[in-house]
Amino acid sequence: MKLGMSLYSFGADIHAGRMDVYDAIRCCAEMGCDGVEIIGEQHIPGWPNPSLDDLKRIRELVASLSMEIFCFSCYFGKNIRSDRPQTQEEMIHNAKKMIAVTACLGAKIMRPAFNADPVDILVDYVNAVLPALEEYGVIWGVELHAPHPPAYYLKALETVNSPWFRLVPDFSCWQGPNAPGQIQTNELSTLEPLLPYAVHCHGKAHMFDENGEEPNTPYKEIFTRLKDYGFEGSVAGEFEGWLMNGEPSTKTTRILFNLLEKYGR
Amino acid sequence: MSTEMPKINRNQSDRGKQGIFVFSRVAQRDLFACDAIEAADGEWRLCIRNPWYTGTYLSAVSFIRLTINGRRVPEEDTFLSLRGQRIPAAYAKNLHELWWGMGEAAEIFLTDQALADVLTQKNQINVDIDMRTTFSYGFPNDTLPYRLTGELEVKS
Repeated sequence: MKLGMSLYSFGADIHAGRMDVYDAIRCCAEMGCDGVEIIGEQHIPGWPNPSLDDLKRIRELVASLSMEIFCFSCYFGKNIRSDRPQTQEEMIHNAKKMIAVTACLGAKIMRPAFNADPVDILVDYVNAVLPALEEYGVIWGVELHAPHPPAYYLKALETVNSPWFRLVPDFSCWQGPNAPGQIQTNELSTLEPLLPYAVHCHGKAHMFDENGEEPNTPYKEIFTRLKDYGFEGSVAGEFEGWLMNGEPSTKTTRILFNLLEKYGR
Repeated sequence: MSTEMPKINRNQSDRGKQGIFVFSRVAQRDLFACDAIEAADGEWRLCIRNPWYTGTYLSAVSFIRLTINGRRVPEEDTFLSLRGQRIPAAYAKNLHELWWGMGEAAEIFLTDQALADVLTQKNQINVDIDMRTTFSYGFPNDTLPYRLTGELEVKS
């Protein structure tokens, strides 16, 4: 499996204006990452209408550092306007645009954050853009994330039943009950039926102990299951502790990448 | 704002409360992108960063109010400028075409003439921003109520 870092992890420095996407990419290369994950709303200059030149520059920088863009992430918000929600046509238009951006970046996986309940809303949305996903060769990686339980995603994956709709498990799904944002603790056994669908993972971390372990997250056990299954996708570290404290990103991402390498190599 | 993070989430509502606490931390930490209030031509200027953890459509800002040394600056005297485009703060919620980048500094212009009698060398500033989320994070009314504070000097 390939190991890398989501540039989300550099949020403390990017939000404060001390670092940009190019700095973060170079940091990842220096750490020895195989690849990176990039978030449109956080990292792409000129968002939400990036220039092809900027996308090309990012893609070429990543390639020049012998890395790949594992995944391009974005947000499919419905409440963009204050006067009305987005129409289904607008949502589909935006999804197709993001699929094209993913392809421009040279990424094979697009992870849109999209919160829909009941799950049929998600299924209808994905089905509407399946032809575009296939045309561009982009996989919609739905992120397994709170507040929905694993069963929600399993239903979506089985219903759509397409190689262009796959899963991005976020380790937070199996965090302990006191991890920030967690509602319920899911048994690790719930990972097993999801593994055939997994193409990319988020190695979520909120904090580290003195040994560099994430105290709320069973990294060793999750990686053991990924290895035993023969997972050939990628895992991007996703340090979220930057929201709570502003420690230098270069320090926290190094600790997290060491943790990924400890159990994932 | 409570100074202690709720530790246990029982449901989406608790998750929302915890989220408000967590997201407010980074907003508070990075609030000001300038080290002073600048006075010029009968108005005052300061810079604040987008408090949200990503960039967002300006239309997500459903309310913004600054209070300086206890003086609430009237809405009609509050203007926001992104990349040189200056707009009345009350119009922000209508402008889904304008993007406020992650951590991007917005200039805030205040034309409230009463501030001349309120401002001192050091000034207590409250920045209240209600930010609508573009999908549900569990916040009441899908809105994150930022209640941020800081202190700035005045420069002429």
